[in-house]
Amino acid sequence: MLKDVPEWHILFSQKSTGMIHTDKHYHIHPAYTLIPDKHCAFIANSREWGMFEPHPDIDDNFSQLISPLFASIFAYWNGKKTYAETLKAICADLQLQAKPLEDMLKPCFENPERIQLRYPETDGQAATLKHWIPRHFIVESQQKSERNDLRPPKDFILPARQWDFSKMRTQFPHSLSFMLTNHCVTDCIYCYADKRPRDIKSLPTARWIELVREADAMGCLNVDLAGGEVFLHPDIEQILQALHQRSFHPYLSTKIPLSEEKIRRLSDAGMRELQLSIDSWDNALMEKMLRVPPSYFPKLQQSLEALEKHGIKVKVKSVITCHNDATETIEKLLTRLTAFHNIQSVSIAPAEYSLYKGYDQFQAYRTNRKQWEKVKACVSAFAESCKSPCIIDCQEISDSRKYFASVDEKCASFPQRARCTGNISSLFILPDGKAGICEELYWHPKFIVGDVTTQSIRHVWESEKALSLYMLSQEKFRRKSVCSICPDFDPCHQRNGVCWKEIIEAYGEENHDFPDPRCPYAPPVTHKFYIS
Amino acid sequence: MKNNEINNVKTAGFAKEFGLNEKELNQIVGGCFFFSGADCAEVAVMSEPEGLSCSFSMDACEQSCKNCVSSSISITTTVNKCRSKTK
Repeated sequence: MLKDVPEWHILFSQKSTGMIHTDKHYHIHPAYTLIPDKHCAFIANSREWGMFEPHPDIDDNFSQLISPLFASIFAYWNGKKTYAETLKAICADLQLQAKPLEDMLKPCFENPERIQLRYPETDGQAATLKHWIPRHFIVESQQKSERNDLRPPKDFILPARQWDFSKMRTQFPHSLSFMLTNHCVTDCIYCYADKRPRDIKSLPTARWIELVREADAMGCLNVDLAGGEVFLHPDIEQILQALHQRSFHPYLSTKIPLSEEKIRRLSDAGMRELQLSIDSWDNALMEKMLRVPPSYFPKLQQSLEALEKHGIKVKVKSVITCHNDATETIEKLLTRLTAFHNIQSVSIAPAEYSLYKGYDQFQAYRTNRKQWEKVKACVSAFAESCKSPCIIDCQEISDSRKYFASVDEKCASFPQRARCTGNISSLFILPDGKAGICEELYWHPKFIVGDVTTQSIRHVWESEKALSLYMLSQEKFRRKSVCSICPDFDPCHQRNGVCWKEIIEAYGEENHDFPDPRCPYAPPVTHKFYIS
Repeated sequence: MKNNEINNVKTAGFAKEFGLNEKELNQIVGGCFFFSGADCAEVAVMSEPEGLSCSFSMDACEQSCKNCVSSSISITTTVNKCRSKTK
């Protein structure tokens, strides 16, 4: 069963005073935790944080490498002692002087803004480390709340000669995705999933549950369930229960019409919210886009009503193609959805390129930029006039200019790209137990790093295949690829990484060793996989 | 808190397990400084000693200072999950 909401939820209604009281207790905000690693440490969102809605004052999806010394200092803040007692203990254990320690810690208390901590790597070394501290990192303990889940300061001890902040790959995957099945109840025209038929033997439920235990034992922070359609797995309740029992709160996304009985059972297994994909409130359009029988949408409507009855929070995702991008269609959808009390948000997004459907099908279903401007205006106007507390947003079409920008522009933007966590801090388990690095690369043999039918998650993570995919050998890149002679090869692949999926989309399967199309050295893209 | 109140307390801690002596530990802690918001944009450029660039690309300074030498990332978006909620 789902654990009771911890008392610290009241922290979110607290206003920070900005004052530190030496006789009060403080602890790291429950949204964050500290993780020791082989050569460094991390600050990241805690596992328990997954059961809460994102909060505007808290950094979500936060993961930051930090010095083991500072992690050790922060680990003292568990709310068990007063400020003065905690400071005293740190000074005593780490032989630190109080004044510089207090000066270093103060900005991390009840900080309304994310702050950047800069410090010398070790004494006498020129390199300055710059690491972010998330918002409201250390907060006053309310009602004597304590952080019993935090690792003790000693766990972060690592001799300075072993510190290495240049590699981003974590000691174990902080995040896992379990793709329980690749079967669906719909056959969406825009689906990006690899649904090519395969003769695969599904992983037994007992093994999925063992994987949950392994993830728990390793200290994983997040386990998500993915499909296909997750609710088509015959033992979904059992798997969900195993996850919730270990404080994993997976994000569940579905298109399946759920019966009231199924909803009740899932609720008993700990499900409190889910994402429903509803692209239109027009039955004929749903039939066309999802290639479903006429009975599908009425059943989905009944499912929505049942979810409302059982108090399950729902987030709706609507994917827009050229078939449902008329503003009247979108207005109707928003009007009907916002009438439900349990629908918390509606997110409107354009259907994008599917690696497995190819260019011709993409051209047949995609919307265009001109129409998208109208969609955005329509959604914005609706959101402004809507009295429902439901959050309504409209995503931007991915900016294709990043592939065609000048070398100077790319030089400025490429180093600031989002970090790909695949094989750096996350792992993807396919329905047959094959372990890959990205949910959109599926069974691509270049990116399969192990198999949990014969290996533990840790063995997969530490396998030669996984490590060699991180520490890539430049020599193995063909001369045809500019990566083979790039001086930035190692930092490029080992820090922010490249998007392998975009490389394949841009240059084709045969050129998977080409540079990321956003790279300043990348050749012009040869496949049109973006919305122009 | 007063310095002498704390510094009088010396226990058999684990400082030495970091392989650094007391002076080195205090220099690391004492040598750290913070930036945030507008200060970050202003001060980061002003105070970044030439040639002493951060060699780590893990931060997301939203200020995008023109002269900032550190490469940065978005810590709120990770590529491999970017469409996991779109199906």
